[in-house]
Amino acid sequence: MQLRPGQAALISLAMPGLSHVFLGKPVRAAVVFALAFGLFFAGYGLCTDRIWFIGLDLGSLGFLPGSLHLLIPEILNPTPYLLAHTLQDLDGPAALRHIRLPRESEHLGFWLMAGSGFASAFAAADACWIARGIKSLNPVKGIDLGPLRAALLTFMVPGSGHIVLGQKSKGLLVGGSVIALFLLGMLFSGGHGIDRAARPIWWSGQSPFGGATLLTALLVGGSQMSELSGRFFELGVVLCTCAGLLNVVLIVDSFSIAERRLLGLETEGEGKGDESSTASSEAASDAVPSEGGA
Amino acid sequence: MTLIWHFLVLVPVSFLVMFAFSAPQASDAKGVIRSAVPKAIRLIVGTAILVVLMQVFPALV
Repeated sequence: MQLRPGQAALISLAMPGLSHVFLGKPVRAAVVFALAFGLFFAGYGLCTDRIWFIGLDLGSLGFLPGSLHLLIPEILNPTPYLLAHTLQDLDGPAALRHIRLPRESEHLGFWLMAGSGFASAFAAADACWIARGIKSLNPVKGIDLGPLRAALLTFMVPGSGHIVLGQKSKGLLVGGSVIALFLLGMLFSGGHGIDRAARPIWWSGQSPFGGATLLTALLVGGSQMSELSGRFFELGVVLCTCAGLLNVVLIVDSFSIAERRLLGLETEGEGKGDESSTASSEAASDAVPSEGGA
Repeated sequence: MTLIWHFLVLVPVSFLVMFAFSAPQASDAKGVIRSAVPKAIRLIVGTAILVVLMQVFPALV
């Protein structure tokens, strides 16, 4: 079935995997669907209906649960989000209990739910890319993920997408800077700069640095605040958030670099900075539009 | 103290990442820095001029 790139992205956002089915990629469709729904409901199973109340005080109870700041980044995966929101059972005093009682492993649950949103966004970008009808004839190890691979790597570790694409020193410089910024933020905040339950709006900015937020959810998510993180705590939170937001720029950058490689749009100076980039350029020269677009 | 850390860490890293993004032709660290430094200087000078004007202009009016 023919889909325009924009249509493919929108359909994929509305129902993860559907665009890939239309575009003749059933296996990838199944993986995308399993990731988007599986991550969301795995996370929802850990944090239950508390997700609708994080960051809300008692005075906000009359307002719609799941306010705007809770929609980020799950809004990128709207179908399971709306499904879970519709099926919630919060009548009576249960709502108050959900606010006051943290769940065990809820930090991991929050990350998984957010991860489903990012998975859905990456899947939409992938569907858009497939719909453009460009594919490499030289897939790595039989799996041709295209620009998605670079974006996913950067999401987990800043700069790694650039390194895979052959821009080693650039990846080390910009990725290392973002990681250093994040580590400094964690140092200033005494290891508690990332806490979705306490500071959901800040967490929305931190979440694009997926690897770091996952690690902190696993390592320090459940630990108690200490007196050490007093004076510069807010500075630490700001630095961690800026690291996450800057990683969005790196994700887009690595995605677009991979796109340009495959489309043969590299400028003359590009790809000559590192030794490994020669191999990437050779792979890029193998990229051709597939027959008949999608 | 917080402001000093912002200028020491946050501003340089933000400049670096944003200017690396805005210069896709720079594929290595040297190219990124070479492209970022003049832009950063222009941005800082421009901001300084704007701040001075914001202080001076109301006083003149």
